[in-house]
Amino acid sequence: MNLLARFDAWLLAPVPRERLALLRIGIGGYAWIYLLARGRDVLAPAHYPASAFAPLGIVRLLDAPLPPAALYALYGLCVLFGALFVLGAAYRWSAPVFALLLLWVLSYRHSWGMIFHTDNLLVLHTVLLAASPAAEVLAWPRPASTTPALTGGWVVRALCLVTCAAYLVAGLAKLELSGVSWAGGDALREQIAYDALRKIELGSVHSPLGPWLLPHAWLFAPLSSFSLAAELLAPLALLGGRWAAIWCSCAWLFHLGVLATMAIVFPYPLSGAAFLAFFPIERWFARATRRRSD
Amino acid sequence: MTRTEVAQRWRAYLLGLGLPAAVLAPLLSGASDSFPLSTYPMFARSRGELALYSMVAVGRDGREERLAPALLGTKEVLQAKVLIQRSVDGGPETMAQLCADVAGRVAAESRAARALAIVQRRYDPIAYFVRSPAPLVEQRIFECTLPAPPGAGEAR
Repeated sequence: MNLLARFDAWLLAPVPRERLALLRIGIGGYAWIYLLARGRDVLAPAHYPASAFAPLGIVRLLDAPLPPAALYALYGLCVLFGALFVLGAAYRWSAPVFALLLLWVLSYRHSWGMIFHTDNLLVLHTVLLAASPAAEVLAWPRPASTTPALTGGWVVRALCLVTCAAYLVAGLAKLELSGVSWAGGDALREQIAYDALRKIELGSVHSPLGPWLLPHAWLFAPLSSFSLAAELLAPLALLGGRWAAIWCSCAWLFHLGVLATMAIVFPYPLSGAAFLAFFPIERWFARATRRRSD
Repeated sequence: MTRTEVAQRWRAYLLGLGLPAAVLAPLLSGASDSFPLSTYPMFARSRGELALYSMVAVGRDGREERLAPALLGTKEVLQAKVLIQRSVDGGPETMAQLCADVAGRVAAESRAARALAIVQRRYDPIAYFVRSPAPLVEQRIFECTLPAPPGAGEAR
């Protein structure tokens, strides 16, 4: 088999339809809870001055901020369609609508001069799931089971590819802007000091651990090397199995480190939802339901 | 291969490879940071000195107290920073507008504050934690007086 045919077989290899459904519930459920939990932040732009409006992404379609009522309405619709997405109800049209609304609502939240990089993967994953047959099982109302047990595995591979690509870009950006010397630790040490000081100055909560570590300069070279390796070696996770488990653990630890030293929360990867596509979650689900029924 | 299978294969390639390629694209295109396609510049470069504008409440005794982001109308610290920065970039008019927006919230919370000020401070971040928290440079660049609290001047 030539390389192209092998790639084709890898990309298109079907997966159990339960896996897609569980990814829909896991990632969609996360997005829905996140929307509710961060509702105040998502709606805060309704009170920002128009002069702070800096549209980006899809929001560039606007010349001026939305009226507050429109923002509230879009947010309400997003929550509503998010619930339909998780349930798998009328999925063929409710899922793309939810993906578009989520993209819009979160892009709008980032269109005020400060981009938070915590939501990128969530939106991309939701877009991919919305284009997939992820509501053939475990959906409400219960779908007619006319489809085969296996379904489009390309979505699972695409979710993994997008995740790895995002981490790879973050790693390559460090090499591009700071060179290999980033692994030496000085940039990370400065970043932690900068972040803590900025938060103190602005009256926000900062991590006490970061400033406590700063006098111990030698610590930052291993921490930086680990972070950079976790990002640059992300494509190894595409090998699956143990490689995926090791990489996901490293990426998760990296985010835990960011939380511990800078009080910056990347909730999507920290929750584990960002990494679900790397694992045969339908087997975990089957095991859990079997154990429950025993 | 049926027509449906061909269509599914096209969709798989278009989205399954197109979206990951789009995520990688900012590396090659040199595009600026955006959403949801990002250049992920956070933590990527040395930060050097920190020049920061913050908003403070000035007490009747002249003491300054930093305002929490909520008083600036946001829960997020970075958003608060951007709001202040943009008002400074906009000049005295936009700084006055920000002052007016924040004044009501501060007056409702504290009777001790007499005025609001936008302060610029410049720091060496590592020196701040390792040696001394004193700023390298500090100056008030804008000040506005708070409205007198209701009832003030009546109870004599």
